Amino acid sequence: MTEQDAIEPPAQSEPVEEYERAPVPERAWLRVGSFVGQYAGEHTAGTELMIGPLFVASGVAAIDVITGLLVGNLLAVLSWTFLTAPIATRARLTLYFQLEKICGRRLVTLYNIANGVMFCFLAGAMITVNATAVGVWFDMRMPGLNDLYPNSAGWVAASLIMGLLVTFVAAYGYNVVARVANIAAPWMVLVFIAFGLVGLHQIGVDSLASFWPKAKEAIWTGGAPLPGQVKFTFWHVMFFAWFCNMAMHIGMADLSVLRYARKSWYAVSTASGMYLGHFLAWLAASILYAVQLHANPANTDVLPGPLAYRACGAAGVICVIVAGWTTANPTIYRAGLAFQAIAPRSSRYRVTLFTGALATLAGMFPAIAMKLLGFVALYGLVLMPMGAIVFVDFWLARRLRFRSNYAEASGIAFNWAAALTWVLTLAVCLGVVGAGGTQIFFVGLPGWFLAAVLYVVMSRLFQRKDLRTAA
Amino acid sequence: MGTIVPSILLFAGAVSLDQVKWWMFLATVAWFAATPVWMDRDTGR
Repeated sequence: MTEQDAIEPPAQSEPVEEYERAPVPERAWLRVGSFVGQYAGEHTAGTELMIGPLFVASGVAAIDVITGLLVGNLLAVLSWTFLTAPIATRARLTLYFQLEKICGRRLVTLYNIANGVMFCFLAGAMITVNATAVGVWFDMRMPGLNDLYPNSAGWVAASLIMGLLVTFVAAYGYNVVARVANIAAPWMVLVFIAFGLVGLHQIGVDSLASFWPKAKEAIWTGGAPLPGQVKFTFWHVMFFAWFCNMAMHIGMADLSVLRYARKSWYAVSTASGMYLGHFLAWLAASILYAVQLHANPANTDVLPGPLAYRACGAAGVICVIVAGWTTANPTIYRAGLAFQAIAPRSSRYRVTLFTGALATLAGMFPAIAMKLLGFVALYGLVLMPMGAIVFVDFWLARRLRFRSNYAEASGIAFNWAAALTWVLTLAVCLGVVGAGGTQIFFVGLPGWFLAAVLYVVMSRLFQRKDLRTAA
Repeated sequence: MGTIVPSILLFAGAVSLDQVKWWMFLATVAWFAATPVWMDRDTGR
């Protein structure tokens, strides 16, 4: 999973108007087909090969994982369609510009930094995935399921090499990798399906009728989770599938993508990403891991490279590398853009190199990849309150008698109502999780409502009366 | 086709896993060699 956002093109490309500080004009609106392929490719990434196996490691049952993914992915599509797209196709602005009008430039800078840090770590997880592909051909010790730190010089070297390659290409050859991503997207989807079919064959499924009994007894067995893992139920799967892209739908990051949609309903195209990537690819990857556990129950390592190689040989390893690379590339680039907000005079190349170096360092530590389910939940949670602020500001400000786009109207650079909403929502959500009240997968939904209520209350408290009544 | 058909044939018991791996590798090479050419033709580059 990744984020598509409006980004300035790298300097070596032809000039392209990105409408970063203006509504997208009608002549630039796109048809639904433009979004189907984009979302399908975007959500078939290297990290899908981590997430699928982690479901198996969590001891999820077959009925729970399949129904949980069907329902959770549907809720994600509906969130994009009914929460994100209506605002995107009316305002036609990037998330950043819309936030700037509401929150002020200084607060948006803080949001950019948070976003950039999370992107760095996410890119680090993709570098970890790529490093496991290198491990297929070299006899080196790779991290285990519960390893948080690098455990061999070979692993450090592999992560460093992959990270540096990804970084330099992101800085100097962005367009090449973007083109490779377009070429590879349909092929990657087919390889993921092939992973699933090969895995099913290896685990002993030889017909449609034998699928379900094998699924229950040998793949998603529903027993105790592996040591160090959280037990997953239907609710865990459903909320994870719904909120793994929380930053993009209810967090409103995809305003920047869907602002180009001719019609609001085009957001149903996100189903291509959800059901090809977050359903088929996750299930296929988990089947491969089940095959591994079946062959050797002591081998609990979640290593996409060897998993793919055992199933589909060199083509599988190439898929791991391409999937990881083509997603790490824009992720590092966007993290660089986000950090550039605090150092606007730095060259894009230097910022991208710095960001890539951070991501490479993060990639050496398997903690993020091995705890990817929790990290992804945290990522969405950190950025979600701003999405609630955008929603409430757009639809409810006038009705609830406070001023929308308050920073723009008042000329302030830092909207305290928005800032306090963000911080307090996170404090409450993380506090509940930290106190053992609930797991992180379940706080996103109540957190959104809390943020919405807090923003209304804070806005009415903090906004100047004369501007409030002018709304 | 070369990417997905071998795994379907494996599932049907018609080919071995080694054959699947070889066919998928060849299909991968063919895909990355041919697709940029027809994509460029499509976009008029």
